[in-house]
Amino acid sequence: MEKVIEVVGIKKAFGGNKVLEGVSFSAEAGKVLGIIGPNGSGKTTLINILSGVLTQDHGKILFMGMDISHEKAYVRARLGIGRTFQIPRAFPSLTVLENLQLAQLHSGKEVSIESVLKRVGLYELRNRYSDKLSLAQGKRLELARALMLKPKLLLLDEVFAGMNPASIREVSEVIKGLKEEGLCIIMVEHVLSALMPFVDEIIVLADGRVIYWGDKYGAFKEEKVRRAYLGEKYSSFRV
Amino acid sequence: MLKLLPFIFVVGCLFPLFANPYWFRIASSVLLLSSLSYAHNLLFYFLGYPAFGGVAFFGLGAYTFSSLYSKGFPLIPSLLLSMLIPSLSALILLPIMLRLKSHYFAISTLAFQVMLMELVENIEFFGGTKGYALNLSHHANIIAYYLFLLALLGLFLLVILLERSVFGRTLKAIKEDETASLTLGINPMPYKLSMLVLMGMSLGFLGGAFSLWSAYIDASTVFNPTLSVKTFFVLILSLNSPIYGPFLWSLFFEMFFETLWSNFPQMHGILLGLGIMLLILAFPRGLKWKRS
Repeated sequence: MEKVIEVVGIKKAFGGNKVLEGVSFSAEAGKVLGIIGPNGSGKTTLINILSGVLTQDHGKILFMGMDISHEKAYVRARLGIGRTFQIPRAFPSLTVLENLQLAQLHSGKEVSIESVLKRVGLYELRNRYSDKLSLAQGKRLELARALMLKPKLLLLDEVFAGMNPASIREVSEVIKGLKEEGLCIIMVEHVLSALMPFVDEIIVLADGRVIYWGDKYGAFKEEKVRRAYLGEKYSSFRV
Repeated sequence: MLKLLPFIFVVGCLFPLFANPYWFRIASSVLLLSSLSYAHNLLFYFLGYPAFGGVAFFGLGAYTFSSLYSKGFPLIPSLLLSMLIPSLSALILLPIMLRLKSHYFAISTLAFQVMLMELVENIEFFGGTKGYALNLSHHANIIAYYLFLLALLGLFLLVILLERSVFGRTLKAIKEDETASLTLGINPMPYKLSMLVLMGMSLGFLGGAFSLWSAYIDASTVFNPTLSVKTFFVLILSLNSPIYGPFLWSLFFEMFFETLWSNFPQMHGILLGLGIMLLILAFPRGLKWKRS
């Protein structure tokens, strides 16, 4: 399978605080890679580095075989890396439709706004100002904006957070559809019950390091993963 | 209200023919202040950069125009150069400052204004402390009035165009969340530079026109920080009404200022300051206007 993204030895520190310490992994087209880990393990920092919002201190990022380690965020977006944010960041003075129009214009990709809006379930709200959307609606808008880039790689940062079960089911179907279309998806997630049905591989980050990368079912059999989540006292507890 | 624009423009064109010198002066001040406000709003409202020292380009335009016109250059080339020089200097100097945000950007532009003021005051080539006294015909202030009116019309239409265009929506996206806009493939720098150049050109043009109106310019007149204070007072009150607000608030401000000056000559400064404070407290984001 074609490798869409390869991350080699990514390190990042903020002052004396080492957030990522030599993170390496890769992801393929048509697969969903889940990134999980305790709070403060560096998951969102990693997504920010992959999308170009932050620059790594050391390491390399290859996208479709191309070294994008020092490319700016807008260049990566135009190349086909779409992302969502943990807390939705739509433009409040623009409507849902206008948010997508901007994305379409600047990506230079031919994507039907109407079909994307219908896909994420926001077509009826297309003329609503984005600051009037609920949290879940805002996350759908972010997903729609990312899809306007016709991405080859989709970075989803806690897309299920704050959603009710019905919304989670609907968005899960969208993600499954995108996976079937050959998109490479990397998801940072805490809502494991929503993630597990369609994720292919799991990476567990703890203290800025990859402590597990492999099969989703094997993740929680590893004692170091249980220790990272549950602490030393309960790490020997078996599910 | 836009449908009234041609009527208002015609009234504006005919005004010098029937107004007495007092009201002509007030009208010129209103046109100048509102044009200054619209010009500053190109960077402030659309991109969120408060150029407190934007008056530097106004002063640069005034000095460019005066130095050329006083040496016999024709009017139009002098005006064109009064637009070109400030816009070029904006393009060269301000991109570095654009890396700063909010109050840091505001202070750095103020520093730029003070620097320019000191430069022209201390170098004889620029007139030094003597400034420039232009030998003008008695129609010069009428020409200046029409230049202010032209600038106001141009800037007003530009603001409307930006409010309704994808270019303008891109500017607002950059202002509201530059990081999110980057992740949509938006490169902010060309947008910032183009607005910077537009602001520099507009302010430079107004500076040139002001030289005709005033007939005498020096550093303390055209680099005057009070101009910035007046302009940003209008802009803060126009935050929610970028299309009509700058003109309406400029009209209010000049009438208010004139009323205080005429009736309380010794205390007008104190009362003006108090009035500004009360208005800002009452309307911290300006008067509400429906979303355009």
